Amino acid sequence: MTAARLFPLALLTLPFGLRAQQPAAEPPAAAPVTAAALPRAQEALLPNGLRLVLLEQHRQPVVSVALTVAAGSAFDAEGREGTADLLAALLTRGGGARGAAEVARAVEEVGGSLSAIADPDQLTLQADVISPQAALAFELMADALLRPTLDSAEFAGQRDRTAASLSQGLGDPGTLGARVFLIGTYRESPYARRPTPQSVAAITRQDLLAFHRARVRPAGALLVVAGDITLVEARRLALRWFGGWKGLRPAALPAPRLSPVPKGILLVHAGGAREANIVLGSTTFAGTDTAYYAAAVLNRILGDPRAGRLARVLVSQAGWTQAAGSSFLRTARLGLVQATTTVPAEVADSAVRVMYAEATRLRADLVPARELERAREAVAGAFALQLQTASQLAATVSEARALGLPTTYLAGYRPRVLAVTAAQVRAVARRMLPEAGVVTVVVGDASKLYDRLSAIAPVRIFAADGRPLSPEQVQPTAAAWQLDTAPVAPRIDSLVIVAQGQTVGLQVARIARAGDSLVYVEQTALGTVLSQTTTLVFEPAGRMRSLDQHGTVRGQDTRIQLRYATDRVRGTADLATAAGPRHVDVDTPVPPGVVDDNAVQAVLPLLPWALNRRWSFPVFASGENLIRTLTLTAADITQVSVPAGTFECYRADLEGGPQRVSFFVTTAAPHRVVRVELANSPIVFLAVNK
Amino acid sequence: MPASAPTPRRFVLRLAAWCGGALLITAPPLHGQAVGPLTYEQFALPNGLEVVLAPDHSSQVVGISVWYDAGSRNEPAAKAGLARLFERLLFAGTAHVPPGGHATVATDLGGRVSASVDEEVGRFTTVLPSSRLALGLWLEAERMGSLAVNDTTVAEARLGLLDELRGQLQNEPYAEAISRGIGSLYDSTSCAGYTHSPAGTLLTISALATADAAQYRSERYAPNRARLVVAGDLDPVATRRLVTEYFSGIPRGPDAPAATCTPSYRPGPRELRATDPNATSIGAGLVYRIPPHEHPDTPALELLEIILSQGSAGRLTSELMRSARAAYGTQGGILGERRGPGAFALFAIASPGVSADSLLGLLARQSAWAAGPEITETDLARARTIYLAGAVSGRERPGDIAGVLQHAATFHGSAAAANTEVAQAQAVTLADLRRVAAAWLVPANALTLVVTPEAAR
Repeated sequence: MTAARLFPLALLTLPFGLRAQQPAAEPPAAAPVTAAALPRAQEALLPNGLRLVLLEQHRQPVVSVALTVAAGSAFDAEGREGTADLLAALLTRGGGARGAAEVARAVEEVGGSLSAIADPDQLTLQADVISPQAALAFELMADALLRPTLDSAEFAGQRDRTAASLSQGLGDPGTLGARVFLIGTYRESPYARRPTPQSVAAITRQDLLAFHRARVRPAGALLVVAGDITLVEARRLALRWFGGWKGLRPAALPAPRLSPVPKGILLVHAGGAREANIVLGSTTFAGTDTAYYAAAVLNRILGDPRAGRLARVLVSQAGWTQAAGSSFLRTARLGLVQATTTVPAEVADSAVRVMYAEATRLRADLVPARELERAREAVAGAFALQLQTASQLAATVSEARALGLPTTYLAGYRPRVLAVTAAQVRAVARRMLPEAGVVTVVVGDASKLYDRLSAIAPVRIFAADGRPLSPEQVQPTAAAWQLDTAPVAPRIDSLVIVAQGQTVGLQVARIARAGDSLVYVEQTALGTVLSQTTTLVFEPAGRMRSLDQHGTVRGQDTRIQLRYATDRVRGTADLATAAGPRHVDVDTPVPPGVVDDNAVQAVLPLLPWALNRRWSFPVFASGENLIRTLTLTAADITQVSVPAGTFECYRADLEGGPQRVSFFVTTAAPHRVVRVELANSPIVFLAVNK
Repeated sequence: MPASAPTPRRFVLRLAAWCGGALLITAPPLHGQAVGPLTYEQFALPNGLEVVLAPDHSSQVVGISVWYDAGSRNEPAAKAGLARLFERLLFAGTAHVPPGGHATVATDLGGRVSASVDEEVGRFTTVLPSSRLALGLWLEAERMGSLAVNDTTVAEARLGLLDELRGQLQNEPYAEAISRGIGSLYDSTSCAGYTHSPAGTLLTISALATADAAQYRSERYAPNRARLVVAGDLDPVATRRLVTEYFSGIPRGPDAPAATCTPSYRPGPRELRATDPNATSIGAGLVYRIPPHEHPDTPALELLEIILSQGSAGRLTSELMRSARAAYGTQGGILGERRGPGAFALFAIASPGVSADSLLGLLARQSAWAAGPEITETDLARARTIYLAGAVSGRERPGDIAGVLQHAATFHGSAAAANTEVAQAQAVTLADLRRVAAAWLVPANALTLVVTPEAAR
């Protein structure tokens, strides 16, 4: 590329005040890229089958040690998904004679680091130290990997934290979409094994020990050492600390045999969601496949968050979203490519079409030379920056070797990427984004998305937990506004009012019976801003009899007294407004079934709840002396944790008023409001009593 | 400055902001046996630009670093924020590079950029694959020669700076009080440059004019106030030719007086009490005056920083948090590197029910401990090792190596100091630690800082 093309418009668009003398107006071109001059890999096979690979480099007194065993998440037992991740997290929390604190202390004392991580194929431990401490690095790694403490308390804590964060993740459409996509793409392959809150909660310490026994074996394991150490010394330390490790090579991952991808779109229902999270892509190829280089270039062309094609069409041109991109997962047996974005539900179908169109273009047309050039250079450049330290060198070599690549792969990477042709990119697009075989996942409100997406392809709907749903099951259905006070027993409900983690107020509701009436007395205090008591009286069928509200708002007294007859409401309202006190005489005709706007939360437990039920009902706003029609939709069922406990709740969205409100009403009768969220406000109400 | 375990992260970030990028560069030092030597050559162009080239072919990466003698100590307090404005202005475009181009061109090549301005210098670093060295040099010459300082770019930079400051004031507890505390250490007439924060104030930033920025650029962002260090996969001969080609034509800037500071140490105990609407617990600190970075006591102070405040074995964590359970967060160390006098702070956030006075007592006890008989060779050995590990890892990447050489030339007067600094720190003795703690970390030299949550008043 002539680098001048980087700034095609600069000369025309930037008439800044220039100084007398300038450097050349033309940016200089790139110098040729040669193979990297990395240390030659020296290898030794230990008697127990552990392979040592050394990249000797005496530039700085630093040594990095990475040990990889075939104990990745693809080897998790069914029903115990999450085992490899959990084991990795616990390996560095105590091993040999050291507990968690001693390990942390030993690492810290030498200014080093020790980490462990599981990917789909491998579990990798890595330690970085100054070279005088190389022996300590080997000792800590051997203790962690071969003699992990797996302390019961550490284990239980880590397991519970993981389960909790997974369960939180399922409530996040992005996380949910990524998960469903992975399972939908990998299907029968062990790579589809993903932890769930249930599978993690089911893991016992015995499971970890069994997994460790089965998978953490020296035969086939790889010990990569980089930095200021000789082969003699590295071999001596490896024998000293890992020589006694015994075990045959563990079973390999079976070759993936996947059934054809079912046609169509997987729609995950998130009732009430305004946006749609879109993930689409496909499985790719094995880690050693030479198509990788073209695939990496393709991924950059398609999905660079700033300069990629998806960002250009979805962010810059359409303006539908802030972020669109793609990513590329390389595993030993079968990789994955995925394009993702989040757009308003109204344009979800258009966004999917645009994404398909970009895939079609990549399959059909050759990428223009300049775009190809820039993508190649970005991919090759990023790789150069990935090999600056001994630690990066050890990590990259161990990753490459675990994929089945030779160590020479590193040195040859950049020239190979820079040699990728437009025809190779097109060929790999046909493999990676095949016309038939792309998996498409959309997470959003299926009631809004089903019809739109069905115009593109057949759509199958699922709940977040994987249950199939029919289009009817996600469609809100109009229900009659019928209230019944009979199931409501006298009780007291308290909710704290919280803003940004701080408690700012309290709401206490007392529900009692007086004759055939249901009496609801609510006291609300919000800092120094508001303090008021509201008394509501209902007939047995839920019709309003009266409202009496008094208190102070920002230091001004307020009082509303209203009597509801069958067709009229009469009374007075003395209100606090920004402009000062205001008096309203009320004598207004009302439709049957009207609810006072102060009574909406109180009547929620009186409704016949069911998912997707939608009620439209008249509300009298005494402050404005007018009637408006509000819509309440039981849009979703979700677990809600509040100080009072964890409840399965309907999320009921109230729309049509000055502010959108979501109420969380327990699915179990007697129904109860345990959480209230106001749209665009940091304030939430949380139930505190059992 | 290092942080102890549960210190809130944004607090760390805020302190880092005060100290500019200085904290991001492991200040270090080096020496023959302890760390691998850095080889380099240097020259100057007729227009005054100093150049250091440090070839190292172990990766295919170059780090291109330009430091300008343009820190906030050169701006009057009434224009606080002017120096920091250039953190943004240097990305605003030039004669041949569109706005933002200095960042996007590098990232599009797989590279990285960073920028920071503190009291001392403006630091601008670009890391690129070495095949793009020429482009990286050309980009630096562009912004040294034809930076777009006009109403539009200054207005945008000003807005960005205001947003950043507003975010800090709104979200970061203790920061404002600590900032004021550090500024109050030195006298405003004899040491004007160090009495205000480089972050500026909402008032002073809003008042910055295009003319202020234009003048600051011509005085400070000129070749005779800059040093270019290139480290990594480079050929010195070819690189020298490129540097000469791109930079020689940039005219020298006017001579401007250097900022001066005549410090007065140990003026007697002082106190600053403040309330903070963002704080939820009491915070208390001791801020000690310390000499310029070049002072021979600095290596010992750097080791004391590790001993007192680094990691779970650091005294602040082990004594205030673990043993006394008096604090739920602690932090301490040298607040940035300075050519003038500096500061060494110990700060703690109180556990419920713990008073500011008892926190202050505990903090003072740690300083006294370091000057007394209880500090041991074990403490010293641990600090030396941790220091060495930091120095080593700060000398692996070309971008970091360029920073180490810049640091040496700026704060020690010569790039050669990069190859002696570590040995100096490794030579510190237990007697040195005691003597230095007794000289600087004492009540007569301390500002006592107490921050109470606003609601508690």
